[in-house]
Amino acid sequence: MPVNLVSEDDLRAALHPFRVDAKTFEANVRKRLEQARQQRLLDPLAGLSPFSKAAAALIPLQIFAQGNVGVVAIKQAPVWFGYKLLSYLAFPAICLFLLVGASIFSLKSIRKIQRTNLPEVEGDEATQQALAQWGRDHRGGIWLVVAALLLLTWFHFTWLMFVGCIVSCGLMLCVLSSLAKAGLGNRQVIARSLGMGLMFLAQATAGPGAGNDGVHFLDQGLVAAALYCGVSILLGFYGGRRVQLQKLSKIPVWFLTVLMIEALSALAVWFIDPDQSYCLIVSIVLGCTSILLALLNLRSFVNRRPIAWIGQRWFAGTVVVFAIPVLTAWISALLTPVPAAEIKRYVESFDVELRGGAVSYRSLASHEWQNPITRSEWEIPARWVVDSKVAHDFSNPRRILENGIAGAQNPYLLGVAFRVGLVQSDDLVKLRDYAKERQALLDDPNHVLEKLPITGLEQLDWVIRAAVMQNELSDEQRDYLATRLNVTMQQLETDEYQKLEEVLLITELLDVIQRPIDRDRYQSRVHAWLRRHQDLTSRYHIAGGFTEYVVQDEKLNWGSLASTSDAIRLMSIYGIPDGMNLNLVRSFLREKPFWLVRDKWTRAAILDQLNQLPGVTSPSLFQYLYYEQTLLAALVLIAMCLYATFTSPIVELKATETEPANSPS
Amino acid sequence: MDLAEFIETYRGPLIGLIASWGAPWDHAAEIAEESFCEAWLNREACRGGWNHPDMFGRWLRGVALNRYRVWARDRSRRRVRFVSDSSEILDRTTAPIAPSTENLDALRGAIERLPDKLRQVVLMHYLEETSVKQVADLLSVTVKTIEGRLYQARRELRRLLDDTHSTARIVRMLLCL
Repeated sequence: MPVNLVSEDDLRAALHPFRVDAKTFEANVRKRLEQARQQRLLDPLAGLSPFSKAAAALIPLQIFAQGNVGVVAIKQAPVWFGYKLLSYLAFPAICLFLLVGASIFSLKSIRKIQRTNLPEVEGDEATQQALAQWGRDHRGGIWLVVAALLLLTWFHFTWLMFVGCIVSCGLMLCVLSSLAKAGLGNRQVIARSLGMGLMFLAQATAGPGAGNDGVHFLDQGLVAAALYCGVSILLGFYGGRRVQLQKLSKIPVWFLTVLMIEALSALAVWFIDPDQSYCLIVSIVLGCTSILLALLNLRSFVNRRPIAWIGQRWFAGTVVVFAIPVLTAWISALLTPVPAAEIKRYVESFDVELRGGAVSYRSLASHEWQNPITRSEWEIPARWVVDSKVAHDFSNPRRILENGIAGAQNPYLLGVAFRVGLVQSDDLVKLRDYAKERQALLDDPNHVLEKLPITGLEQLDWVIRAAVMQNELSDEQRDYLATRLNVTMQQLETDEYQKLEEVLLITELLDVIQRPIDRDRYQSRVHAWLRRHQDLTSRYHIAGGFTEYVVQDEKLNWGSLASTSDAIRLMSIYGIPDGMNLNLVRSFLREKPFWLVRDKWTRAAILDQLNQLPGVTSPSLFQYLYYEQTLLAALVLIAMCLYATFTSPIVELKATETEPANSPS
Repeated sequence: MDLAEFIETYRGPLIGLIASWGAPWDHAAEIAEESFCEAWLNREACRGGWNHPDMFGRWLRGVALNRYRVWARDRSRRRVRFVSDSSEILDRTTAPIAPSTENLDALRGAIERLPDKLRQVVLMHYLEETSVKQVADLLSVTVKTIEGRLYQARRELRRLLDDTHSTARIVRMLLCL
């Protein structure tokens, strides 16, 4: 069935009376365009919103004017007080993001133009003068902003600093977009300014102490790394369409030499200790960079001309090619939990021979040169493997033990070996000092020493365990030992050098001699000690760990992995103290960047011990997001800066800024 | 694309679009002139490149919408009688209207009663000899969608006109009685 439609001719005829005359319409548009252009020349800010006008009054517009000196003479119309107040919130971002970059690049531009002896210096000098004048006018405000940013970072209020920056930056971006619509500013100016602001923040957040306080599950170095990545992306827009590298002859030789020495040093470290694979990566990157720069320098010297012109996309691409793999490797190392098989492989492969046949360079500063299998590096992950009932093969560590037994018989090494179960019954006859130490410990017929604590328990731990292993302890001797261990425990209450390690040893040894400790009796005391040993407020190291000793000066109470492991074992025996913030402990145990991987297996083992505690649950996604608010805030800030850059208009630069006067076009 | 070509391409559909939002025809033409001016001056800010018709069409529509809102706000502030009822769009023109036949008046009345989306495409497409592609670019929809809406609009118009004629016939018959 055909559908009856209204004819198109009828429709055109019906609407025909409303058509406009094409020529008149075009003439009107052209007239309006001419008026708008005139208006923009006379008053570029006429079309801005009241808030943008108020905020623009705080910005030296010369930096956007690109040589249009008349712009600075514009007076802002008075606006409502509320808008002014709002514009002051944008002031920190204006100081931080606009002026630092503008000042530096303006000075750089002046110097370059002076070298090439071109007349354009006037515009840049005017810009510099305008900036200087602005700096004098707002000196107090600028110092206040810089001081507030640094103090907030140093005093661990990084999150607050980022919130302030985000609010301020958001307001500033509104102004920038308004100015861009008015024809002021371009992508290069915006990228330079925002890039320098991000660089400043990255430097502030990379400083010592940043991110040490509070709870964070990810390494806070990521904040600075993310900011540097943002700077790297913005770098691609610094030079407009092309990025000019400096003449290589200007790169000092000492810089290349230092690069080369660093590369060789990293290679040497990797050669001595193959575990430190990051050193190989660092060596390759530094070595390639120094060789490339040296070759380009040579070519520049021979040809007597600048080294290269690099297209913006190539430059940004190179940065991304270098930055993305490094950041990916970093983040994956931080986010991926260490698998059990890797901990097992690490514990099994712990061998002197496997570490290059030489003593590790880091061990020279401590007693570790005598004892390669230490508590923090080997015992903690090894005990985790044993406790987890993972099938294991300790033949390599056994070889270290055999070397140790054949050598000086270090008591610490023997303690570790007994606790992990490395020692076999055949080894007992080879322990030269066993009989003497046992006699010193137990030969007390008159019970003179019974009420005295055992000193140096960590060095005698192996003696008691060896005696139990050989079944050489009578019931009386067990009671005698139990009494002395309890006395030692009570004495710890007033001991100035109280150690959690000792508390744990006593508890475990009482179990070993089958005289278990009265947990209810000591529970409140141990809980108090745990609270006392936890490092809650750190300035120069990560908070949340448990300290070896408690000293008067809180700044010196640094958490250690060994002590934290002891604390968690004690919590598994005596229960978790009330009010103990386990997320803070998790924060202390967080993964470090891949170039600090030496203790990652230990951290992973302790973290698993913590998660295995009765009644403990892993943090939720919400908690992750909550505690990583600083990183999220930094990412938001970077996204805002990138958005502002990519949405700002591209304006062709003056030839003198991108190409040399004598270069072919 | 130069300015003349830009205006020639989008003039008809843009005036029709603004009129469909509720502006009288003479004001719609003025708003369109302002929109062309602003869009041309700030064309570098058009995301996706102003040389791409689909991108620039969307951009131009956004600019025109902003201008229309400013105009509507100004009008309401001045307390000038302004009724946004879309059914009166074609009556509120001050443009010189050629002597019309009874049928064309009825057709205009029917266009006023069309649903918004259908009336929009009718005004944009038939005001001038504008291609369906340009209308689609301006509205950010596919050509097929515009063709479908035009077809529905013409069918709906036929139905409305038939209803009007039937009613008029009945009224006349009643008067005769």
